[in-house]
Amino acid sequence: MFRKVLKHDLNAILKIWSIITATVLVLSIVGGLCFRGLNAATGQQSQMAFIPLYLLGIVLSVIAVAAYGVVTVALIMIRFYKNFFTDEGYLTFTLPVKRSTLFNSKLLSAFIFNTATFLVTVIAVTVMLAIAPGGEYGGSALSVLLDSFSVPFAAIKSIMNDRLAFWICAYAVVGLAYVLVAFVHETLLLFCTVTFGSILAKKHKILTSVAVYYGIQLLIQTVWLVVEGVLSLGISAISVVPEVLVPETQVLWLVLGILLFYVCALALIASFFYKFAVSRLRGNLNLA
Amino acid sequence: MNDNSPILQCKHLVKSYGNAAPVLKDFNISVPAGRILGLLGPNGCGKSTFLKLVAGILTPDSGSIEICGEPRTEESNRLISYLPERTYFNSSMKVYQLIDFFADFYEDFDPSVAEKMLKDLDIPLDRRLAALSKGMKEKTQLIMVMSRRTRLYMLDEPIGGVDPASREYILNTIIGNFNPDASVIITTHLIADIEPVLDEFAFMAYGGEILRAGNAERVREVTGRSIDQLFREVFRCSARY
Repeated sequence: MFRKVLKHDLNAILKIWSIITATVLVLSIVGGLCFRGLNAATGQQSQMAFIPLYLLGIVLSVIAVAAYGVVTVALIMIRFYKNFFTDEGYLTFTLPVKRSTLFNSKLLSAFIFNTATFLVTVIAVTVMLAIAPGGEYGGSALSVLLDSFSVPFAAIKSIMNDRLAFWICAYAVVGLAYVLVAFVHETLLLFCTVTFGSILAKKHKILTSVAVYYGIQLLIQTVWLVVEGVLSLGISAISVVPEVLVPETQVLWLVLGILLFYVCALALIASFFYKFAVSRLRGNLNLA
Repeated sequence: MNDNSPILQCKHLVKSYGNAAPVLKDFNISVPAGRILGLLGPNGCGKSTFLKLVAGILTPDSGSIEICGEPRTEESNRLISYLPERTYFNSSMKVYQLIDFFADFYEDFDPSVAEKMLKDLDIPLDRRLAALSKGMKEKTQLIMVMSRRTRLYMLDEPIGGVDPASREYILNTIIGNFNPDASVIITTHLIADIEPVLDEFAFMAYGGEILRAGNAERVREVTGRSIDQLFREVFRCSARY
């Protein structure tokens, strides 16, 4: 049953998402070309008339790439809300499918679309930078950007020293885990707030959900501020107090540990959101 | 599943919305197999609430619901075909996509039955639901629900928005499409229209109190009045109703 539900969840968003994705990719090429055109037109009297057009193209493409992720999240949330908490819920919740299965399918489809959106955004930005000129440095903007990373990369490489492969692998694994858990955490936070808001309120369900979202965000941010404050104090102590000065490799361990801590903390919070949302759907569903 | 047990049995059901007085107070009902039950009552007496509780759309405050002898769970939806009193399909879907959707999720759904009924009622398969009239949408919904071979059909106002010419076809569809092991519960205000298909009836008052119930044919014989006439007598506007 899970595969069937997932198939319908993916199909429901896929068409519109594909159109938006194609538009963003085309606009990223247009944006890159406009950067190139603007660079060529600057100072050329004969091409001055095209400058507003190039600027418009750049603004449009940058806005499109920036808004792409927000639009994907909006599509996911509209599907979630309509499917569960509007009249469509009369069909959704009378299917011979467990509510946890319905929820898991929504979660997985959201994860798939968010991950795909993230990858497409990286591709779109890369394409735009690869086409855009590097200005006074020559080449493309992408090569200039990559060159600018060479100094910090070299510094990090020297710290990693003889265990370069190990550190790259360790950071890649923990970094990937962080990104994945962060995606799931953010999606579950949104699902949880919409579920809670919709069950709590008879009217103005979306408004209540937004209020619940900001309420939970405020709580989480406050806790994070305290945690980050403590962590910052610890790191400051290492760098300031001579007695606790540690070798640079230990700093690598420390940063890795902090990242792991974030992964575990986000996973813990996400699991709470999951349990809460599914239990409300099971025990408190009251469609209008 | 116990084959001798009633298709639906509800005991001491209580349901209230917020702090208001309970819509259902200690509601009890048992529906045996092979019967068409008309659940009849004034607006707001709890008919739709009762069907929503059985369908799992609402959560009861207390009491028990058993479907074919087993407590109601998400799995019970295999045994229930529920038609709510509103348009509830995704309006961006086309009619044939709806058939695929039902065929995907319900093993007992018969696409050929659905297609025949849609053709009989001139509902085009390639039309989006958003492009159908309200009456056509309601017919489509009813066809989808009645094209299953399940144990319990629950129809909330199935002919309310349907033109009189199509009502006869729909009522014949209801009778012709369920098997003797199944039961149908119909709620409606159009009692005269559905009376010919009813085996049993129950008059439901506010709070879910059953004022009168029985075999429709026998009551007609004994009282010499139709269920419609009887309903008008029982629920004649008074201080109580």
